[in-house]
Amino acid sequence: MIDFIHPALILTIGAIILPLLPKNLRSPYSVAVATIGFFFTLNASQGFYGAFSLFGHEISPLVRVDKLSLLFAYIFSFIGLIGIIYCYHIDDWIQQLAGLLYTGASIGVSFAADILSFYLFWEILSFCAVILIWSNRTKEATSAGFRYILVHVAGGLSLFAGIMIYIYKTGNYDFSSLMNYSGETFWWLILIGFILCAAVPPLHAWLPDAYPSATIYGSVFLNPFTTKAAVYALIRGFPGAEVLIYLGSVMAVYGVIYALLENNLRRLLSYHIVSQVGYMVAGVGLGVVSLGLNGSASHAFNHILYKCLLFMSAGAVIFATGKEKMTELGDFGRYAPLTALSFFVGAFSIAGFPLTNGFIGKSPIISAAGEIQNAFAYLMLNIATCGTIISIICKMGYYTFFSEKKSDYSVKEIPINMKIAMLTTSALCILIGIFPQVFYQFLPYPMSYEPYTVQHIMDTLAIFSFTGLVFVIFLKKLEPKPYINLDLDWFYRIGAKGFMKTMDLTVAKAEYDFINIQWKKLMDNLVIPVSKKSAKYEDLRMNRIPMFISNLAKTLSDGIAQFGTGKVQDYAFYMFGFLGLVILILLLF
Amino acid sequence: MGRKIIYLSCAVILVLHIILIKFMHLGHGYFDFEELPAFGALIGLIGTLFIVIFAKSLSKVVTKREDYYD
Repeated sequence: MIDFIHPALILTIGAIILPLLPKNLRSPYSVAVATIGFFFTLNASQGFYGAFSLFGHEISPLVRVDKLSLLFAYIFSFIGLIGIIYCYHIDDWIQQLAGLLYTGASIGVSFAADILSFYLFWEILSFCAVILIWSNRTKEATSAGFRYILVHVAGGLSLFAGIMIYIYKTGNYDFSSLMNYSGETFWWLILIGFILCAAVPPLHAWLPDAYPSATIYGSVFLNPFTTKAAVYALIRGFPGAEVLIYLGSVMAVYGVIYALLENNLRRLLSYHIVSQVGYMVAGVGLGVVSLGLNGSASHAFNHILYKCLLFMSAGAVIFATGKEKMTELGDFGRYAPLTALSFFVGAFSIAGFPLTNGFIGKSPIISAAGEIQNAFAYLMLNIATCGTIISIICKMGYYTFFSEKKSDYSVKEIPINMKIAMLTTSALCILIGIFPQVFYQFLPYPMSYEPYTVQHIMDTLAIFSFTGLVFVIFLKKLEPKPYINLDLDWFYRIGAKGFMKTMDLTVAKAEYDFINIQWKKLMDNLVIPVSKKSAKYEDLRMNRIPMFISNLAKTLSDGIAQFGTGKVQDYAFYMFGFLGLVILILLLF
Repeated sequence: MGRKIIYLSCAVILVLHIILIKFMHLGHGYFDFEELPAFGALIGLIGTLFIVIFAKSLSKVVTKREDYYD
């Protein structure tokens, strides 16, 4: 009797079968796989599973299911299902496959008990993300995908180095709190790997660069998994690391400041991910009280719901009009009231309005800042709330769904499956907001906390109304303009160009002007005359062995050449397939 | 119309906030500075002004034409 079946296994095998099916079966099939994965996650019972030994090393156990990992696995598998429903109508199996694998890998991350399998799933996350970015099939998406993979490989290497030193120094493979080793080199290396994926400034620029370049379905899958898996990893590995309080608080404000300047819908929402993950990172830092860690977990859970809702409604706007800049939209609420409704549910949730899940999600974090008397975090997180309200409800909401029509766009009908996905998520956002205590019992650490106090409600309402006041005062100044805003990715985008230019002027020039000429001289004066002479003495029989070897080499390389297409996408696919195979073997035996 | 609703709600919430928290003591803050009358309103106003002004001055440096990277 098998007592535990890993949902990631179901999703991975299900995803691999997907391309073999006939076209019209793929969408219903992927919904079925995602649903089965969701139910297996719901049925997972707590405990440790799958101990084994590899190359003489005891690696045990492989899978850990506890309250913290369950909370994340629930939301990952649920939002995977929602995303698959959202892209039911498309005829592109690559995105559905990547979506299922992505969901599976993030469940794998949350269930991983040992640090090696954790790392394996962690890297699959980046591969799936890149496939989703590239499936937009534009030049911009291709280069954004390359930048994404380069940044994540750098972060992954830092993490890998940290993990190797950790295993070498401590001799154990468990992935649990690293706070006993606080300040050691590997502690910092692992932390850098995690906060890069959590998009903590100054390592955040990949996020607003890559997410808006994906397809509208791709960005629904992209936004919940990588950053929130990083939040899970931080909660697990670094509870109460003080540096995270300050990083997170600054990050929360940084994100909304950039969001306020943005014109592109999905870029604006991407900066809000940076800001919201800032709350969670700060919450992990405040984790000396269980309120902070619970707050991070609950905020991550609720954030995934409303953020996907926002991305889905922005996707619906883009799907219907083909425009994604606020300077070309306006007055869209008239054409799609349901999309507008779900957008505003999401917008009020992210801003933390009472009776939405954003309010009950982030309240514990702010209260934790109050409880340990950290005034800096308390004020910064409250200021970030103001910024969230003004940039998303006021700016994006007003200039997209109201105000006057700024360009003559035509409106396509939004498919029913997109509406179902949006409305289900909206309903959940409200339900969780109304019944916080039902939700709080799923949180990993024991706490008794009541978000709906008079003080808290009055403060929130006051913040909302006075932010609205500032918005109407500055209405003209805040109007979106057709510009882009540079972020820290400027350094590597312009830096790479500069590097190429320097190489052109120095290395390439030296090679061309000096080494080539010397080489030619050597060939002309020495090698050719000598070989001409030796050719006279050569016999045909002596040539047989080299001929045989070269023929063999040619046959072999012809075989290999079929795999070497020269496209990095293909290489990524082979590596990815190989990794998948390794995981399957690991999980099966 | 929209503006009037916002002005009105600001006034109502300000008054309610002061009555409920300051005079009826229905809540307590974590810090001393929260004892200021209508602290929520204050942080809403100052925080948003801070964000708007900071963003606007930042945009003088970072805002570029859309074909900047091409």
